[in-house]
Amino acid sequence: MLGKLLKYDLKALGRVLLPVQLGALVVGVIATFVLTATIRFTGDSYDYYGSSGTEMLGSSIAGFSILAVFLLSVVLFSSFLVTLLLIARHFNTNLMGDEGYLSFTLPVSAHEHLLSKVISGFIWSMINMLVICLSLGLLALFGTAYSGLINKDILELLSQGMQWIFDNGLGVLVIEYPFLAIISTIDTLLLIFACIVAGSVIATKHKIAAAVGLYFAVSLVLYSINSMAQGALIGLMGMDPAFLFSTIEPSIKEFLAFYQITILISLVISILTIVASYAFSHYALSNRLNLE
Amino acid sequence: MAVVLECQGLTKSYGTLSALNNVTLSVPSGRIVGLLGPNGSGKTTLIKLAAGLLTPTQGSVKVCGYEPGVESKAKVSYLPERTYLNAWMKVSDCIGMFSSFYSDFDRPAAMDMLARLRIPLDAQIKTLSKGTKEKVQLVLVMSRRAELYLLDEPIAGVDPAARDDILRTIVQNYNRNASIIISTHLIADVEPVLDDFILLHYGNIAACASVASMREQGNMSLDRYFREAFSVR
Repeated sequence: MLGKLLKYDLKALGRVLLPVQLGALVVGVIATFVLTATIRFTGDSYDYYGSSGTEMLGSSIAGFSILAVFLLSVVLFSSFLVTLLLIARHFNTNLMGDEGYLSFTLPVSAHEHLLSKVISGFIWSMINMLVICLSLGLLALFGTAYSGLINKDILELLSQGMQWIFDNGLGVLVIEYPFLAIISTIDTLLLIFACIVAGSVIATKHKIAAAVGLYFAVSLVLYSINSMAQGALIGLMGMDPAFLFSTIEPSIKEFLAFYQITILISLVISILTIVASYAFSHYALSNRLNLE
Repeated sequence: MAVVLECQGLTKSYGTLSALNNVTLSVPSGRIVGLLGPNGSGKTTLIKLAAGLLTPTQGSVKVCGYEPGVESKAKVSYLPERTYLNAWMKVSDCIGMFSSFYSDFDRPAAMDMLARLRIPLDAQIKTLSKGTKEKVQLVLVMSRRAELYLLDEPIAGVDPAARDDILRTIVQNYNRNASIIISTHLIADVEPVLDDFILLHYGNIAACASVASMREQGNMSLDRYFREAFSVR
């Protein structure tokens, strides 16, 4: 039954999320085109008029480029928020709203409902991440090219950066950060779902407002716990994180140890949030369901 | 006869308001039961508890021996009083969905009923009128070979001519070994098809009997009995 549910959840989400991702990608392509065109135009003008004659034209073109990059950033960030909001809305309408009258009369367990929503939401969140990375990648590689198709300097910089990371034994971060991003996405989705379920169990009116309030309150608490745990652990290990706020050059060893701790604590909190959110949602959907 | 629905001391409260109060009843298989009562008497609450959409405050409800869960939901065919289909789906998508999730769904019967009611398969749910949406849901629900049909106000939103259509669809298409519980306050329309009735008032069972025995005892129709019992004097 999980496969069947997943098919319908992916289809329902795809209807609203595919246009969002395509829109973000199209804006990414346009921004790339605008940036590379303005950069090339500025370069040509310099050749033709000399640097002093093109100062005004150059600055207005630079302004235009900055605007294109700024708008792309806004669009990509909005696509991230809209993706999360639409996943949350689908959960709410499909389980807690009128469609719940069908969903909860299907011969399907609460586990299958929850898993289907988490997996479908996760797949679409990852697609959104891919779209954001792709748009930024396009902009960096093609949008900043003065001549030719690709800005080879960026590729060179990327390769040098990776080389430096691996040469200094920081390769583990390259694996840990994407892993943390995946776990954090699942944690975010499940926390949103748990708050929607809690909102509809606790509140008799304004259930969505209750869910939103609950989400921000729990997030704040989790963030505070994360910060305190990091501070406590760093203190216990006798580390000095002053290098983060000053110009003191940290040793690679210090740098790695610090980030390992932040990743470890975030990971533990995320996993605990996943377990608690899932357990609560499952309990409430199985034992406290009251569709109005 | 096997019992398809059994309630023991079933109570549902919302804060201090009691929607259903200590209801004990059992419905055997092979009966068409009218769940009657004025607005707010607890009809929908009882049906939603049996369908597993509400959690009892006290007491228990069992369908074919199972508490509401995966097993009971495979045996219950439930028609809510609202539209529960995805608005963007086509009628054919809904047929596909029901046949995919319910092993007892009779697809040819559904296609036949839709054709008779002249409902196009490629129409999107959101483009249909309220009455037609209700008919699509009724077709989906009655095309299952379920053991218990729970129909909440199936004729409330349609015109009198369509009511006959819907009642005919219900009576002609249900699994004969199953029972149907029809909740309604339009008693005169459903009375001809009922075997038994349960009369709810303020969340309590006011009466529970066969329609035939009531006619014999009181020499009056169920509709008239209802009107006299709940008339405002």
